[in-house]
Amino acid sequence: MDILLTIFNNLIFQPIVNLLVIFIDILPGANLGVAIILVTVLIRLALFPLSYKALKSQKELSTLQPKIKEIQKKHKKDKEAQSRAIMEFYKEHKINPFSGCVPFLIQLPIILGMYRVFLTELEPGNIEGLYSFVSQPEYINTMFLSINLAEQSLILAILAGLAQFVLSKTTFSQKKKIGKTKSGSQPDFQKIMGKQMTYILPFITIFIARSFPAGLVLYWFTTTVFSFGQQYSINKKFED
Amino acid sequence: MIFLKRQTLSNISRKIVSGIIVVYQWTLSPDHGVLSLYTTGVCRFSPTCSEYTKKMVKQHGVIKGLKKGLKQIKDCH
Repeated sequence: MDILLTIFNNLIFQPIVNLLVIFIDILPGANLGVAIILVTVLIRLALFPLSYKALKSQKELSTLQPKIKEIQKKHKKDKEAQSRAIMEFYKEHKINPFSGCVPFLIQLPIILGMYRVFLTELEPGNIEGLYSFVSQPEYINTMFLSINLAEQSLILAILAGLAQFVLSKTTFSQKKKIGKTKSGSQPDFQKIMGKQMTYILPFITIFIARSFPAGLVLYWFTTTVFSFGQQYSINKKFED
Repeated sequence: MIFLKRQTLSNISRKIVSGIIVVYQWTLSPDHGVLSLYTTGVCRFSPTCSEYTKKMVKQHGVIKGLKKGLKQIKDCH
């Protein structure tokens, strides 16, 4: 467990802290809010190829869905023969194989790292673990659009909840379009919780976000908006 | 010292491992839990890799089941 924590600290946490401090150093007025937005967007852009590949092959898959269903029906009794036949079908149609759950899952520790960084209170002149080429900021301006990022903010929490609602709404209609909501094997969570979860979760987000420092909530809001933009741009690109 | 029958031990380990898989499904999985609200389905298999692994572990035991599940995950990477 200790090793995992050290790896997380050295590989994910510290680099993000340093990146954030670099932006604070460079930005006029040492504005923490702008720095948080820039770090979030930069990291999400770096992760973009991973999500892009996954989303792209999902699009390709959805057009081939009827044929896959046929194969599934053909090998209804033997699950192993079914998976083998499907894999061969993918190979035949040259669907990029590197697009399963791994590209998605390796993003999670980085997203968790950002969460940890924006939760820590940065004390100017007393930030630990800075690299030798990163100078200690003398002053950090935590005011952003008249919101103090070191304190809680209800407005920002509501904005984060709202953004989340819009994102899950568009994802849902996207799923409907490619016919993923009805297929038996897909999200059991949604089967159990039903559509209302789309409405409940944003409220949970607001309640939780309200008790956290607004800096973290600003990250949450930015990353949600980024996800939305990412999905939107890919949808646009692949619509025929 | 408590002696457990081999059968019971195997049953307990199957339950523990499939329990871990369920926890994964509800938290980190892009296809089953909370995160599934924000993805359009990531796993290309049906049943999904985690669902298949869970079933195989219950049916064939921990080692054989995990092997089968890992093989399916490997098939798509």
